[in-house]
Amino acid sequence: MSLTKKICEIFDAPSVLYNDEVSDKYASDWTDGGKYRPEVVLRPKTAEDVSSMLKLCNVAGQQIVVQGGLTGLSGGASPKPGEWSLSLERMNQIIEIDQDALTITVQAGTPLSVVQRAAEDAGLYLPLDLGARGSCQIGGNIATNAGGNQVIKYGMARALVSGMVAVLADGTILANRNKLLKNNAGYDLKQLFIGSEGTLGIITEVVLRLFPKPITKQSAMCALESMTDVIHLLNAARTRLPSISAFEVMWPNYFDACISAIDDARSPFTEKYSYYVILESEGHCAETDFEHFCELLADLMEQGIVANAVLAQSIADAENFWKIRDGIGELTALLKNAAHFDIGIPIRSVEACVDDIQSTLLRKFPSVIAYYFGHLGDGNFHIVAGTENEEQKYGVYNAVYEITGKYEGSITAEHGVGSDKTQWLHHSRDEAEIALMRTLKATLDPKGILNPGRVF
Amino acid sequence: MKVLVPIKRVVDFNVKVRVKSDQSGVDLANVKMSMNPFCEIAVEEAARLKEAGIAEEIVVVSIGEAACQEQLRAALALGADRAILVETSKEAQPLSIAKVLKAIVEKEAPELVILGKQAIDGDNNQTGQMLAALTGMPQGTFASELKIVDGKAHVTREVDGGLQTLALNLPAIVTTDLRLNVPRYASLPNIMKAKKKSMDTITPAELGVQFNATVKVLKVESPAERTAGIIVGSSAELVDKLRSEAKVI
Repeated sequence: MSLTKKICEIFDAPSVLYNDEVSDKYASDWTDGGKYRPEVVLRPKTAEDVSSMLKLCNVAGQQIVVQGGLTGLSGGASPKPGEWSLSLERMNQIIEIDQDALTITVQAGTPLSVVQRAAEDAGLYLPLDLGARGSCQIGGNIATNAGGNQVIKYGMARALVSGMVAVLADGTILANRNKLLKNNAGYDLKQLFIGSEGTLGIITEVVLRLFPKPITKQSAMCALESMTDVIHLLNAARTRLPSISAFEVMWPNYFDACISAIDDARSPFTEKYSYYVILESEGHCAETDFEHFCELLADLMEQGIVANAVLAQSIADAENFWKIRDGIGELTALLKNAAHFDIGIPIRSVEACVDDIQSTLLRKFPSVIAYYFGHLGDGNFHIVAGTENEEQKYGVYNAVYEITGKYEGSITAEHGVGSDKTQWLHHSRDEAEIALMRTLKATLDPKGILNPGRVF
Repeated sequence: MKVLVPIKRVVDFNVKVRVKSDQSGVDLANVKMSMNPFCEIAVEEAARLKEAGIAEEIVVVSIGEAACQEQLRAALALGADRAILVETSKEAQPLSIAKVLKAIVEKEAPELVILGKQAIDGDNNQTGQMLAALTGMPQGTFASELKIVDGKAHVTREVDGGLQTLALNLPAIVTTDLRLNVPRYASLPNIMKAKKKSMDTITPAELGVQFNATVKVLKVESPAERTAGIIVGSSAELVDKLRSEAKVI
């Protein structure tokens, strides 16, 4: 009996989509690639479903691409020819909120915004947040160790995972719904599945850490004249503010392009500066937090480190600052054949590295328009470069990743390697490391049925 | 010319408020408070009149708890010269506010009072009009443009059919609409300067005003929750549902 027949016999109709029932949405994530609509989409409801589906696929050697909200930017969830899709979209239940342990337990296919809202309704706060919150799923966020807007304060998705249920390629269910902050009994196996992009197992349920929601938030747009000053501001803010929740740096060509291209983005400044920073801090004291924030910036302005700054007096003001930072979406639409980078650079090398990239691109590809901005507090910054054609785009990728490796940076700070960046992994990881990755993969998924060709 | 700008501390426009379980009002615990957006526009307009050399002094006034100082400081950072807090813990309804403002107008004798057309919390849209009635000053409401020409305030108003321009004798009252201007951001140097500007505190009693609640809130309810949408499989199904279920075609 064929695998398709067997699976169709065991599972009800909504659990298996076949041929014409498979819509185009399963053919690609948010990247341009992935033009293969899978023949079969498996849509389990429980970890036991996932287990028996994988067991059958493993015996038959059927390769699987794991799909969540399909918002990835590295092609990891786009099916390759011959792969079936396993979509977590029907596993979207909130299982439990524990007010004493400060945890929420959810199925992996729950959209991030639904988890955020459930926490909020319970008077608590899930600090994981990114632009795709309405579509992306928590399982995908964790499998790719998502970053997002608040990494500087709360860490990446990894830091928020307390427990997990995961299913191995052979159908083995590993269930550890740990809520303990301290638990050193043996290997912390959940870490294997966080950030391994679905290559070692499928996450079906997670226990996440929640936090009390901060009461106050202060936002400023600062203008500075040198990278030394930017780093000084970062260090002073880390020392003197209760907590920094955002430190976003924009290079002037990006800032100016956003202001002129986007209708409702307006510069808070009449003059032009070398760097712009959105600084945000969160706290729990309505009386003093804003005062401390002002004092810090005033001191730095007096010392000549901050050249100018405006402070948000309302949430609308803060949103206007972010309109400039988030304007990249609209700017990208104006670029042709855009190459996107999400690289990590040690903070003290950022200036040299960006200078190096800028001059290299100018020398090799003078027609390329590149914009620079990023979450500098996390050592993560983005480049978007408009190129003339695919060949030039590839050249830009090669050049930038090589320079990134030279400065001991990461070719992908948050989006992951996926299918698109495997050939450049060696710029960030050495041979021994990649060999161990292969050993782990061979141990946990000997037939290589889970997300083959992703990461390495 | 002296300009008086009354401002109100309200729940920030972007906060999603929650109704208290006893339906007596909305929950304000740990909620971000800001200056009413229409009041921000009023402060901005006054600041522009000063920059144009028309206004000499801008006085901002707010009525409420001590926490209103936060919004008065914000107004000082946007260009006001001094602030008055009329401190009270009592609920401030439009008529009481208008009476307090009348007393302030008598004391300060401004030639122009610029107010927001309404506050986004109560949505009353009454204070400016009541103040005009109490003081006998002419009023230009819902201003989308304000010019001072030959000792008169020319106020362009957004009305249903288009625009109407009034000429008001001074002293006059102008209430601001959304399109009058786009308020500036508070710059750090101006926030620091604002700390040194004067802020007086007085009570309604000192102004000879009694606070009487003339309106009683019976009940506050959340809007009915919308049911989730569905994804239809085909345009035929859509037409069928519009016809048989929604009954709109």
